[in-house]
Amino acid sequence: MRVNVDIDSKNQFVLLKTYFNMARFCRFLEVFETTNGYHIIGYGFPEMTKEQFYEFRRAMGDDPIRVYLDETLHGKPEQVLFSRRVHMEDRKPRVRTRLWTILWKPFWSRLPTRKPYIR
Amino acid sequence: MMAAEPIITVPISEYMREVRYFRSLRERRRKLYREWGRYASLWRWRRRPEDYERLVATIRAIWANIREERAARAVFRRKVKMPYWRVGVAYMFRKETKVPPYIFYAEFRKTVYTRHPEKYAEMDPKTFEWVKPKPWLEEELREIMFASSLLAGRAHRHAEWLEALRPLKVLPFPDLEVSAIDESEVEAPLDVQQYYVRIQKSAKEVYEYGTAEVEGWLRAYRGWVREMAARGLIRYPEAFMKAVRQTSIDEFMERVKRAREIRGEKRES
Repeated sequence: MRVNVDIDSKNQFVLLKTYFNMARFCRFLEVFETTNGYHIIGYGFPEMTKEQFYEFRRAMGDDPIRVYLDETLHGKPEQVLFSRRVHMEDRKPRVRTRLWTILWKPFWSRLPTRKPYIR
Repeated sequence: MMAAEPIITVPISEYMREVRYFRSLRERRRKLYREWGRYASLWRWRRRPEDYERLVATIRAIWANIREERAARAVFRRKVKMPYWRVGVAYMFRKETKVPPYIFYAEFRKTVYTRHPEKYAEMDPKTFEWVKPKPWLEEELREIMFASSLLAGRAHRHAEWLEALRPLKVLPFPDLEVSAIDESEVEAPLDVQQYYVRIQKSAKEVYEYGTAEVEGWLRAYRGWVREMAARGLIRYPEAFMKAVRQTSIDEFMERVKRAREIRGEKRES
C-alpha cells in the first residue's frame, strides 16, 4: 500500500519526525521539497482499512484538508500530490525538487544561537 | 512483496553500494567547492597564474563530478521499476481557506493510468522531475470547459465561466500530477482517459460528473460543430476545434472584454 503525506510547513523537525515515523512501517520512501513544505511518499505499507488509512495519514501530519477531501469526495483519485503547481496568486509554475536523501541538506535550528540580551 | 511497489531489480547489496557511491561523490564535491573558494581568493589577491590554473581545474572537476553523478543516477534509476503510474491534469478554480472545506468554484480534471508516463508528460532530464504535461493533454480540458458552457446555452461560449470567474480576478493554470501508484489504485483500464468535473455553488450544493457524462458533453460539442459547419456558420470545423483547444482562458477573457468594449462603444454612439 502507498501512503502520501503532504507537509505544509518548512519545519524540518516535522519533516524528520514524519520521515522516520513512516520509515518504521514501509520499505521505500521518496521525499520532495515544495514551495512551502515537503511531500513524503512511502511505498509498501501493510494493508489497512479506509478508516485506519485516513487516521494514519492524520497521525503522520498530513494536511487535514487534503484528508478531509479524500474522505468526502469519491469520484476522483485520492492521494494526489501535484508535481507542478501553478498558484492562482502569482501564476508562476512551481516544480518540486527531489531530496535524494533525507540528509541532503544540513539541518539547523531557527532559534537564535545565543540570547540577544547577553553581551 | 506486493506487485505494484517499486521493484528494486538488483540485490540489496548492489543497491546500497550505489547509495554509498552517491554519498562519496557528494563528499568529494563538497571539498571541491571549498577549494573553489580558496583558489578564487588566492587568485584575486595574489594574481599568480598557477592559482588561476588551479581555480579553473577545480571548476572543471566540479562539473565532471556533476556529470558523473547524473550518469550514475540515470543507470541507478533503471534498477528501480515503478510498474503503474497515474498522470493527471486539473484546472481548479478555488479559494484556499484555513479550515476545511476549501471553497471550490469548479474543477476540471483528467486522469490516465498507464505504465508509460513519458507518453503523457515531459521530464526534465537534469532533475528527473515531471515538469509539464504534453500539450494535447491539457488542451482537451479547455475543450471540456467550452463544451460545458456550450451546453449551458449562452451566446458567448465561455460566458458561463467568465461570469463565475469575474470575482476571482486571477485564473488558474492546470496543475500536473505524475505519480507512481499501487496496483490497487488503478481504477480504470490502462491508457484510457478518465474525466472528472465538479461544480460547487455553495458548501452543500456540489455537482460531480464522471467520465461517461463528460464524454457525452464532448460528443454533443463535436456534433454541434458539425451541425454549424453543415449550416455554413463555421467554415473550417477542424480549425474551430483547434482554436478552442489552444485558446487559454486568459485569451477568452481578453476577447470578451474587447467584445464588451466594442458593444459598449456602439451602444453609446
